[in-house]
Amino acid sequence: MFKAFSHIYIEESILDHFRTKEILNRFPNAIPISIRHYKDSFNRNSQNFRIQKESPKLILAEKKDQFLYKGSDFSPNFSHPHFYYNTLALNCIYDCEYCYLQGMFPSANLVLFVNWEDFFSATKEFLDKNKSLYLALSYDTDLLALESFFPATKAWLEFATNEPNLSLEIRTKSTNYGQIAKYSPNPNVILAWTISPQSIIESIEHGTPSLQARLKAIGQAIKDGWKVRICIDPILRVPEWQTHYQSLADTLGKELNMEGILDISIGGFRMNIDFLKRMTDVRKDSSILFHDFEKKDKIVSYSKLETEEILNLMSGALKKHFSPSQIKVSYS
Amino acid sequence: MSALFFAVLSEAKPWLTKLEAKPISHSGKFRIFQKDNHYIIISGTGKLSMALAVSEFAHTLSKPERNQMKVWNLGIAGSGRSEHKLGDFFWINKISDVSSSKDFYPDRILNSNFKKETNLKTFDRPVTKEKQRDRFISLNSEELENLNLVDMEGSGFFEAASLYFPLENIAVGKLVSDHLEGKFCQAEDVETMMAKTMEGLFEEWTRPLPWVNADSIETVDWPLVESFIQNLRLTETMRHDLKKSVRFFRLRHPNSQLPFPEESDKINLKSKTDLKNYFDQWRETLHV
Ligand code: SF4
Repeated sequence: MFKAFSHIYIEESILDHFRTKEILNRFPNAIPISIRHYKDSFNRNSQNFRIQKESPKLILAEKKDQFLYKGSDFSPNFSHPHFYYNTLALNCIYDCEYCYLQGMFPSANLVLFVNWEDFFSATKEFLDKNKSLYLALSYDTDLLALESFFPATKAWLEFATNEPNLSLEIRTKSTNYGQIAKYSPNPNVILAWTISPQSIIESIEHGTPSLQARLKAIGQAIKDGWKVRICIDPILRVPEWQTHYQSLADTLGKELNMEGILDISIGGFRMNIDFLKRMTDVRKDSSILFHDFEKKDKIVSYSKLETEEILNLMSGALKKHFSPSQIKVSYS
Repeated sequence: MSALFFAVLSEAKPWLTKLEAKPISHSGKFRIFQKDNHYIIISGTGKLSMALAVSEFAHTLSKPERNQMKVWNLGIAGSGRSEHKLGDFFWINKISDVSSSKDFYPDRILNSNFKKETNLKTFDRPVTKEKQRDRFISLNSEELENLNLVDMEGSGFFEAASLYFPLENIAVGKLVSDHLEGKFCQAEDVETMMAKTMEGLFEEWTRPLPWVNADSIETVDWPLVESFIQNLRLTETMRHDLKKSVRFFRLRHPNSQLPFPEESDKINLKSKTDLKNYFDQWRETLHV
């Protein structure tokens, strides 16, 4: 799946934290290096995201503040009044060519915050005050993909059991559903899988599980009674994209139980203009990033026409198998 | 391309001999030796001298050259650990500057035949565990407790190098020359120890960085486009956009000829609007 980490940077204040020790036990061959603050390593100038991604390091840290962030306009808020996300981890073990993390973070190394209890208290406090919260749990990372050495998803599922006003969205490309399968489905939790045509997975979503493997995990989650969201987002205008995405819709129709699906969210590629600039500076070999994008208010996206074409094609293809009310446009 | 910084000549000697490097004449203060694309620089002791040497050398290079340059600092270091043997070689994954309390983290990205790594503390003066030695800083047992290697250049080298060179190109390696007995090492001993380590390291130092690959769009496609557009008055933004479009085309069609507009149409470009249309149409042919 991913190369084991050769080095683990650890903030001095959490050297003795039980979770630090558990993680270190998972990587007995990694060289530990103590650091004062994760930003001393993570935020250094002139790091090369691409080169680091070849040999990513782990950084264990303590999050001191900001346990909840307001959701960005790029993401669908699914009409929730309190749409927030948290960052238990920064960066991802996968390497999708379109991933905005490449433009957002100066480093490709993976930061894991071990003080989950502080995240829980902040969330509780918010809930006490505001009575409801829709929390995206896997935002600047793919949290479930880390489950084997950073079992945060399990911990949040347990936390959510006692917080009826908390809704969670756990978005992933991983097939680690098995790691959380023992929990009984919580109606306030949405397991959201991002999927793409297999050819895109192979050529663009490097290191991620195959479409078939994802569908198997999704199928199992539906069968077990979880609320499942499918995200076909971003839809990419690769050569012959129409055929690839149409056949993806057909595969979904064939392989998934329509009733088990809460919604299918679709959206075209879009990105903060500065992120894209940074991405294209280091990732010069990805044609999807050099599309002739339309620029508007610091956002680059496919042109209005191209976006419409994408959304029309996709919603049309999906409507053959799913009810129109299940199809949501995440960004148009 | 590779550059190697040493504090003193005795550390550098075996490398200079092996490389068959010759001193280059330049107007600077520091001694720079060269053979082909490889350079050896001798800074003199202390972090300030080392930082100045890095800066002086960096200024002899263009930015693209610096981006391709592997930059190392090798040298001797005292060890606070009795289990370290004389001549043991370590890559450094953390450098702490004792006087400024700054820490630096050289990334270990490339594999090496030398597997051992540790951290390094850079002091302003030589360090000893003995009491009151002339010209030495005496450390007490508490200070010695967490000490691995000590030197006088590492932080100066890394801080300066990271201003001029990409972080991932920079590495620091030290070999154990003493256990802080408070004596200065003999030049011959240093030379012998450095010669031993060099045997395994020379090839690693001269090997090009694996991530420095020629970009065929920069080297083949763009020069063609540049010569085509030289008498067109494109703005910087237009040139920038055109380059992106050329890249898009090349990535989508690795084996096709780059489409150019008709050369003869250039004569009819009378206004800015003409140029813009011409330019937009060209870019359209690239985004297929
Ligand atoms: S899975 Fe998501 S977070 Fe991970 S690299 Fe891909 S797009 Fe980025």
